[in-house]
Amino acid sequence: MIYLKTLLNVIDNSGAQVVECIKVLRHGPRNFAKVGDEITVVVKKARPLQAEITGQAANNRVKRRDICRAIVVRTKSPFRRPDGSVVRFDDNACVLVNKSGDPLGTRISSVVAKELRDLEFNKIVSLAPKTF
Amino acid sequence: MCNVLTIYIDTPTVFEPLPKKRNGENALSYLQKELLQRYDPTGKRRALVDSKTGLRAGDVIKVTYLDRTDVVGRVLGIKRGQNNVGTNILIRNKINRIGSEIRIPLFSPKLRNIEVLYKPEEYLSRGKQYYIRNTKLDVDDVEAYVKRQQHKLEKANVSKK
Amino acid sequence: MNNSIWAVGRKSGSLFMGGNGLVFTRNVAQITSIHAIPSMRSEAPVINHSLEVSNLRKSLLGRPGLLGIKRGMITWFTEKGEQFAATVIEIDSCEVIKHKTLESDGYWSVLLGQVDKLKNVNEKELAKFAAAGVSPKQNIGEFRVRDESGLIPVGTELKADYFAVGQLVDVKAVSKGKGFAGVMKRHGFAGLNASHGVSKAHRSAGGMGGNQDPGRVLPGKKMAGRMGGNNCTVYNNEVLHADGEAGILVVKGQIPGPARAFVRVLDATKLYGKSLNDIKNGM
Repeated sequence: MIYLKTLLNVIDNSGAQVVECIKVLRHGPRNFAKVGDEITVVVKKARPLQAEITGQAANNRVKRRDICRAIVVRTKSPFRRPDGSVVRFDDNACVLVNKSGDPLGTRISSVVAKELRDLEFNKIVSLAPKTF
Repeated sequence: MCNVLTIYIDTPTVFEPLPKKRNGENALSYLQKELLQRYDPTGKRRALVDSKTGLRAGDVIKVTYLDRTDVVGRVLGIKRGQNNVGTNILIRNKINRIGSEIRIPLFSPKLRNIEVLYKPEEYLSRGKQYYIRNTKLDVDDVEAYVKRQQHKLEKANVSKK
Repeated sequence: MNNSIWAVGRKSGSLFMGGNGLVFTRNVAQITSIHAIPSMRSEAPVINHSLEVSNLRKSLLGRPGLLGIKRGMITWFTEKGEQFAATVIEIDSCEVIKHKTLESDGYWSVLLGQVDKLKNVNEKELAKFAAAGVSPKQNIGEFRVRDESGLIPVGTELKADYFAVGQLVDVKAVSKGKGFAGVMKRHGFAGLNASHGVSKAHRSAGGMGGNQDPGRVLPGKKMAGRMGGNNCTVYNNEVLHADGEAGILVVKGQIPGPARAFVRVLDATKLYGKSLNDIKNGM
């Protein structure tokens, strides 16, 4: 259940660590984002810039106060699968993406929900070390 | 239906009621039993959640689905009921240091097997261990934990010999 | 009268029916008074509020439904592995007791009874069941049908497999009584603030309407009062399982009332219901 002002962990190497949700996209009023939903976020806390990082990750690095799009990949609130099982994680987490839906980072550090595969976020799923 | 119980002059005939269905058993429990027989013909899963001999909160289990994917975790609680088709098991694990929980319906036709990986020697005192989340009692990476415990056991056995 | 001046008019049809009703040829001087025209009998207009016309207009089912008892809810798995919540309805010795016909009652319907009642039935009641050739019943329900083709012979037992698995049904029952409930529970009002100086009125309704204009509370204002315990229908629930031998019907989703409630199950009226007018017009 990701609303306006919810803080989320960022689990890719785009440079952001904690972001705040400022808009749930493509949802009715008074609705919340679930796993696989797109949100607009503002970066609240970022890793300091290091000179050694090069390549794509360096170009796409985000700073504090940047506004980006993100995909929710884990929620603390339990969600139900069609087979009746109920899944919950210990934190709310997201992956930053650009406007065409490709991830900004090149690596994803921790587990993501299985639903993303059905929603065709194939890039996020293939980068993630494990799905749950 | 034509058996007549009482015949008096000028009193209406009372017809005998139809034979009782299910030998008079409650419809809900009859259906639950029938469904359990269908989903669990061998009785293996029912034995798994038996309150005395079955699983306990603290055990480590591995659930395999029909599509060969599996989930490993420590049991936090079992939701039971009398012959309940809705029985489910809540398991918790830490994957990449992120706590992940899943509540799995026991009699789901999608399940292939439930395997008990490890039973601890000492249990915590509660049947439902929701309170262990984010405390020092919390689960670690369960698969690594099981390996460590098995290693310990082997060592102990070797030293005994 | 045939040789009178009216011959022309009568030949060309009814006076009141329009068309080229009355054509006069004026050969000689004639004086015709309007009062000389005799009154004619016209057809009575159709009264839409009558039972006969209502019967044609009313959207009805081709066959009666079933009476049952709600027994509780259950987890249901489909073959694909999907899980639903479902309700178990027991169909216990549901038999046809009587017909109502167009001649005797003005409409077609079937009276059903369910659950054997072996005590405390008075003779008047007993006579009704004896006439049908069935044992005395606890509950009786009436189902209107579209025409005589929907009448099932008296004394027949209807079993749960009367409904096909996969079809949609409506379930009617009396909802659980909630007693005297406030507006937040009864009508979903938002209530008043938790703070900002609200004193002991956090769950009250707030304003009732204008002050001097209109100077009264408008009729139909939603207020606190008795909630629940009224007739309630859920539409288009799917039948998941129907076992005639065991008398068990499983319906997807929730139905009104507590466990052990008396329910009426019928084919989905929005899907299968048709009026005689519809059939006549080929709809």
